[in-house]
Amino acid sequence: MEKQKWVRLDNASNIFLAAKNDVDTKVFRLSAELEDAINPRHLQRALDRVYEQYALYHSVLRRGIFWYYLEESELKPVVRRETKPPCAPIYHFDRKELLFRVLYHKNRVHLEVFHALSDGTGALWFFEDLISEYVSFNYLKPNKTGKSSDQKRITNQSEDSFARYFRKSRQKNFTKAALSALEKVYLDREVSKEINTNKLEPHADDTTNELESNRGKNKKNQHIYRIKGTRTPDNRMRVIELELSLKKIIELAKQYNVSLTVYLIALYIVAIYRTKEEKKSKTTVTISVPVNLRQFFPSNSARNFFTTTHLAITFENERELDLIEICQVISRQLKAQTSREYLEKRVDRFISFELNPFIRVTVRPLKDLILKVINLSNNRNVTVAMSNLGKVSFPSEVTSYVQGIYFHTSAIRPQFCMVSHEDCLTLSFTTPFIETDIQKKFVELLTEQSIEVIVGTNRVTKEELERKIK
Amino acid sequence: MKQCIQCHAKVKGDWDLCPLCQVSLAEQKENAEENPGPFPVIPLRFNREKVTKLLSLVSVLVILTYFVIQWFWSFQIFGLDYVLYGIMSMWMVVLIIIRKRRNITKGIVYLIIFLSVISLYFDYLNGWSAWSITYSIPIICTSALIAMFLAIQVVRLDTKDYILYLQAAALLGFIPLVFLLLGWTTHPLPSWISFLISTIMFWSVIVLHGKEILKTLRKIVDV
Repeated sequence: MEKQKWVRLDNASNIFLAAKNDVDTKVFRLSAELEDAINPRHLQRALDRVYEQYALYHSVLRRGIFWYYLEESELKPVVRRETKPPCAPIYHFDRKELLFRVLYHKNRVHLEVFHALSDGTGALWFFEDLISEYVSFNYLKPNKTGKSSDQKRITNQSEDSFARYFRKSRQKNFTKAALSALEKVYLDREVSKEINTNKLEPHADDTTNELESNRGKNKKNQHIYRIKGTRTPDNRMRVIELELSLKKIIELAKQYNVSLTVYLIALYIVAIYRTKEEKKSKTTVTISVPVNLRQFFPSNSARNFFTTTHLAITFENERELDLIEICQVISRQLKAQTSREYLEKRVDRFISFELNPFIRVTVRPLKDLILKVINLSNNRNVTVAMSNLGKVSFPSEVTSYVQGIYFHTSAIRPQFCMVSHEDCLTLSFTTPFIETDIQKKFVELLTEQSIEVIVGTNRVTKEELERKIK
Repeated sequence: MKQCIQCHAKVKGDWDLCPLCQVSLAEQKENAEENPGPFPVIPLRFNREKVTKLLSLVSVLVILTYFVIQWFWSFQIFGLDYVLYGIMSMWMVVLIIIRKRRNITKGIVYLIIFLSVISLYFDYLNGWSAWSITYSIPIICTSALIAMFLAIQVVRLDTKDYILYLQAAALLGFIPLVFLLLGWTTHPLPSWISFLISTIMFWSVIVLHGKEILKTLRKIVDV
């Protein structure tokens, strides 16, 4: 038997295992809506082919005394009809299963991934290739040799397809593909240090120090709003998808002179504050926003590689802030927390955590416990969360068959995720609660400005389900 | 698509009320076939609640039965604390079985430890007659090893998934010998049987799967 390969799970991914519970499964979902009902046989063929290319997705998660580790498995993924609520648990202790699943329902394909395996950006690569393969099997008649899109892409000569092919070829070796992104950054640095030892002296940077301390200060002596609600009867998530025109909404954001992300965060904060029942004299709404570190530290690792920014708006004396004020504050905070220096410091800190000998020899259950406590205390300081996956692009032949891309994650608190494809921007709100006040307010804020919104929701309460079954 | 008159959103799927505002959409006629909505209708699942309900019911019934019997019997058989310990054990065993249902061998190791500790504790409560280390622990260890051996034959398991637990169970089976050598037991036979079975199991596993054990151990204790 060939020697089985395994890779230790980094601390950044460990947090998802520690934070995972019955409500927040730490699973996220990418969906694509195509023209016709999905053909499961073609989808399976597409999956088989893409699966071969991505060794990381062969992983199963095992538990050691000091670490969790990813182990290469011989399992084969099977596409299934969607029969469980969105983002149902993927990883179970003691069960040897792949850490992702591919589902279909009517004209939609879903990829659900356990967050300890990969982050949104990493999973998107797999997803893009899966959908491209499916479209080429199902619509573009594949040439008889069976070699379809890979080669097409290369002959297409577009820079993107080259990049993708390059990326893909690096995902085939399990140990390389499964290595944590941080470890790669660290190893690269070690190499460059050897080449160029006297290059960079770390210099004191006052602004980042200040920011770091502000992050801490925010948490004290402030009343951070935590949204409460009625849990759904069987812990399933409420998902509310909004579809909008990307162009129109960008125009709106431009009027406020901020990016689309900032504009939508600001709208969300307004919706949250307006739906808050009792307004205290001083309330802080905080939002946690992940930042993809690959933009700053080039990496083709599909493993988790992000940090989160923590944005806060304080409402005083029941005075509601203008949208424009909120936009500016958020924009400023986001800029500060995504500056190169600031992020470099954070990455350094992550690496030092990974290398810390005391953390290394801590037994896993204790690590889990510590991470659980850290996660709980972090949760206390977060009102909501949002995540922007950006623009999804497919090879030109594939694009026309894709009607929309959707992205959402399991959530312990109301949250929204956004992704766009062509002119279709989709925002997916997820919440563990039945109530939809915030989302309703958010939609109203958009329709007030004559933006057309299409809403798709799942059924979570007994009444909603009974009405449908009847 | 139906449109809500309050939030002005267009609603996908066949909803009678706007899913956001609860405003009625029923007047707007629509062909449900054409617009099925993006999510399948998935019935609620209540499994965990069912188990909890069942166990609670059994627990209450057991306590009631105890009182009823006490009522008719004029002398006390045993105290209510015994009943409560019994109920707690039942919850624990069910919990272990549910939590460890995917790895039978691991579940058995957990059960050995749990049941042994419980019997030790009861022996201690009853003024220490050493029945736990003489009889119950050796018997638990022996039967658990046999059960594990059988389970492995019946359920298809990967060697490396069960090997360490099998070995752990075999090692636990050596403990009764320690009791015996220290002279704590009142009868030697159960301890000897446990030792014998464990020895056979331990060495046959080492001979058959020694390499596998080393590999698994190295992976598990990686720092």
